[in-house]
Amino acid sequence: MKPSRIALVDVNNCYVSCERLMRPDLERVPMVVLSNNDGCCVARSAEVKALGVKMGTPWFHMKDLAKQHGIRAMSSNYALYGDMSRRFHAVLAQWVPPECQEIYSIDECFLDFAGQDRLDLTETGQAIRAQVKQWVGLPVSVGIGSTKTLAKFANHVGKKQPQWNGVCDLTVLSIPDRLALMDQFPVQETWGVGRRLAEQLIDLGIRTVGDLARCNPKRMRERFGVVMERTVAELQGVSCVEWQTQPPAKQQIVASRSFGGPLYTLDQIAEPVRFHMGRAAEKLRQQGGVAGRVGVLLETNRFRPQDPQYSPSRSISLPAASDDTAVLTTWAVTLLRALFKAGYRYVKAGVMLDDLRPKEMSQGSLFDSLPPERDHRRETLMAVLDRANGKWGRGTMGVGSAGVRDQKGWAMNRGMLSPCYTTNWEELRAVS
Amino acid sequence: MTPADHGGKRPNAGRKPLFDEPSRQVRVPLSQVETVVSFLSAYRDETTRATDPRGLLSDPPPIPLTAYLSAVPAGFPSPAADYSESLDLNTHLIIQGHAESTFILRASGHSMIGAGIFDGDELVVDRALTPKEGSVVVAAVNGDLTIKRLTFRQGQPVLQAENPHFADRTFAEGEELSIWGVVTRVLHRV
Repeated sequence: MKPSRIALVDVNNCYVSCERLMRPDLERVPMVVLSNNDGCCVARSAEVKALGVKMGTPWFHMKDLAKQHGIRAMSSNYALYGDMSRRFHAVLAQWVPPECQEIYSIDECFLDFAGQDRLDLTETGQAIRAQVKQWVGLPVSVGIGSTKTLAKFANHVGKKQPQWNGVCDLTVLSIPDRLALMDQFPVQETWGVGRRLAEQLIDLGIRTVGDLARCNPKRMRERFGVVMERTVAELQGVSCVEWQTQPPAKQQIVASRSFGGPLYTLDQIAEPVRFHMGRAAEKLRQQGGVAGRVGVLLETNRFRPQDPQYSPSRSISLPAASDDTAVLTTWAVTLLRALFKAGYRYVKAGVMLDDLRPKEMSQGSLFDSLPPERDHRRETLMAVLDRANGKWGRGTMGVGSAGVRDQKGWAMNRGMLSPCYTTNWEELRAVS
Repeated sequence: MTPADHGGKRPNAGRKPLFDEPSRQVRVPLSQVETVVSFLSAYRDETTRATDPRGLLSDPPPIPLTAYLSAVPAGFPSPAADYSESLDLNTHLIIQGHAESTFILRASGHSMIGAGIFDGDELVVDRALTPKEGSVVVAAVNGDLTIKRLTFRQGQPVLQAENPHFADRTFAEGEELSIWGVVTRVLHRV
């Protein structure tokens, strides 16, 4: 059997590239895209990366640098990025059969070229780059390897070393050449090796990706567990990470967001908690599930060391699993009351739904009337709620004060938002 | 005595009036001269056309209504039931297989009125097409997006407006022109 060949196609600086497609004047301007609420950098242009700005840097920490270098910041325009992502994945779908495409994230896609043995994948990778650039205007890098972890590494190489011209195929390299290439990259560039794990590895003298690839997977399992064993095996070309064409049903639903400004009282914070639970419950119903556990989290601003810090979270098992916004909201507010302490400057709240299962399998509580009948009137009500919010936008209808779509103190700040060029007729890009 | 036919107005002499109404001089910012001149020329065409004698229809022509004389027996399936075809604008306006590469942009200004593209029209732009001589394109010039007709002179690209009041855009050594997409359709509200 021929070794499989997997390509990872990844959009370079995805959000920045989406903004630049509609704004060619920003092509060489150093720029960042900020997270919800204009908090931290979630995307950096190559110019900003070259200045040493790290992912996740808070915008207010880099204001001086921004002034000095003329760095431009934009708010996250998820309508634009979502549409561009859909186009990106649809173009890639032309290259492999449907079961050989795995949409890994908004800007990353795995393609399995098994069964297309005669293709030169370096050429193919260049053709993919050219097509995506022309059709949807996004620059991409392509990495090819015999496993997902190797493809991910190859993608990184293709992006970092200009001599590859954006496409790196590890499968045509001899094993010594491949290891030599891996030795040029620090161990934390391996997929699945985070900063903490990297520190432990370096203590053992495993400094580069190549060092890790030379380890014995069984030994690594004894020391670090089964995930590390798989990572090492994958680096050696033994495929261990499964192919997923269908995104798995979510095991947990989280809805959280920073407030537009700090909030201080229980009543103030209850509003966004109700709103977030409305969104989370809607997602839950979309996947046809019920939640057995509800959680709430609160956060103060960790970037203000002068403030007293208090960032608690707590969850509770429900007597009977539910998908009813009102029931879930009641529990969330109960938890919030238990968590809340006055005297802190809260900047973020969120809700979590855990212990998710399909609705058909849900069991009633022992103390319910038997058999556990579904309340069809409640189901109808929830369906109306979802339709109303779908038709007129999020937050049109909700429980208590969650259903008022006014500008509130906790609503998102998106002061530097670009128009929704590709999803709203009123905001099309003008050309003269 | 001077003869009576000396002096005074000569018929058909002097500057011809531009409009069928009195006009006066105004100051126009230099940057807007092209726009104003092209607007006026369009306005003139329109007003001269509008003065053409055009008869008003006092009695609209009758529109014949078709009467179908076949009765449909109740409970009998309609013979049209197998035909559920309809016109789909998406497939008509977007080249098949090019949904991902097709974008809608909005025209602004008067530079392409000769190509039937007016201020405010929506443009269907396909990035997957290769621009050819004569294609109407959206081009990126010095960071600006502009819509023009692409032609070549002595092998050099030229962006032409479809309006005599706009100059052609040629490209000097070192200047950058990139084609953003090819315009395939115009959606004009009437």
